Amino acid sequence: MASGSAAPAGGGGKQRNYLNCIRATLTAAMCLENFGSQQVERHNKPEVEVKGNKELLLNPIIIARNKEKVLIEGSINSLRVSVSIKKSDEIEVVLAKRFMRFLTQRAENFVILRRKPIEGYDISFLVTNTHTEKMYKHKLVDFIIQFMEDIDKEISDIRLSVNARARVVAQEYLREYQ
Amino acid sequence: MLLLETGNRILESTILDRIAAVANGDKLDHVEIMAADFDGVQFHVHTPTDNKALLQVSVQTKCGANLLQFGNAHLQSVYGSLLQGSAEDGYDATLHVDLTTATPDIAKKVSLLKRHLLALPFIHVFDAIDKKAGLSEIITIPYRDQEAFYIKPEGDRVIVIFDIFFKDQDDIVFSKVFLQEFQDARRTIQNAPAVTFSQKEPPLELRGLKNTHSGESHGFVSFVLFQAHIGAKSREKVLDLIQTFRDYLHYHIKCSKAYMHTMMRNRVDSLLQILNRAKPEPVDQTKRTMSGKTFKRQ
Repeated sequence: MASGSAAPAGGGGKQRNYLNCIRATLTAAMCLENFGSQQVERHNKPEVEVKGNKELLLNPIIIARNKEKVLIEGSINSLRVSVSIKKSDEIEVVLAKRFMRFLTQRAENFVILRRKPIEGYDISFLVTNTHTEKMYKHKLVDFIIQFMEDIDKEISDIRLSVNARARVVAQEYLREYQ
Repeated sequence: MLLLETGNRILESTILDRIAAVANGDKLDHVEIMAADFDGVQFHVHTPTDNKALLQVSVQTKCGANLLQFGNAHLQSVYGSLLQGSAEDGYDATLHVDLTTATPDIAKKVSLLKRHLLALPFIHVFDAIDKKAGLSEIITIPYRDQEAFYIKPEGDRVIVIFDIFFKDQDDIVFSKVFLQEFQDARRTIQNAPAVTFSQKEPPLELRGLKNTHSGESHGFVSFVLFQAHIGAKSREKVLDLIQTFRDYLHYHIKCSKAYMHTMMRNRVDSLLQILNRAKPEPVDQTKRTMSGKTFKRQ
């Protein structure tokens, strides 16, 4: 399994470059068409999950930026995207775990979300040809990119609010001792 | 409301309601109430005799024997004739309240029964330090199932150490954030007690003491109370707050988890909105002929 990695350009747009690279790869990988199962008659399975025939699968790609990375596995009728979130300390590990559990419990609402992440990653998406038939491809890619940005922002927001709350709680309590 | 209430609202409102009923001339009913408070404390309020104006209030804690070994002089000074010589069976202390002569002040005092009971060991140590009696042994109060607090007099200050048990492993991470702030608050608030915390192993002050818990899920928080806190001016407030520190911490950890859930829920809603933009609008499939007949294309 070959894996390619994109080197981020220097300067303030590092995050931008990273996300643009992912966007380009996703747009290319999201060319899906209906393909019945070659193993079982009349069955139609996402080939990237089944991995039955080598000729139907594309080379997986990992796009990494320090600790955060994205694994994109393509096939003829389905695409699997796995995201690993950047976690700088203990509290972010706990918050990320809780947030991901919260989201995967609502996987039905999110349609393209996978209930269990792939080993080594925090959350996974599974996009099949049925989804691309019902929804605009470029909007789906938009959604995944927006999702990644939003998770990072949300975790840092929650972490800031916990710190702020801790400060207020501590001061309120100790102020009374004066 | 950030700080926890010190008195028990159930006790207070039970007595206040009945005082109002007596003032109105209403008939009083038999009372039988079992109420709970923080740290597994239970109250029993009932009418023991046929005289419906006499209310009996009893309190039960997990460490009653440990607390009462310091003598109940303080309880006597607060409750005077309300305090009964021997407590109800299975309880640590009992009060009798005469509803015909009770005042709202008395209702407030009764609601603070748990607070006064738990203050006994602290008062013993504070008084000893005031008198420079030279106490040095560590007092252990196992006030909860797997938790205890320790009071250690040291010269002219008192070190109170809480052994806090965390059932949820994530709580330990949250508590580290909170306790770090407690430690840092001394920079902004003058005269605050010095707070330190450690995890797993009991701090040095408790070395050599038997029956201390330790382990991944136990956190230890030490408060150093100085002269300013022990002196008569701030003593009452300090006693109010130090008893429920562990509950205060857990309460706020739970509040921030609840807030987290609200933030996550809002985020999920906004993400779903973005996803819905990906779905094309349903095209209206009604077609008409020249003469006006319509048919709907499914």
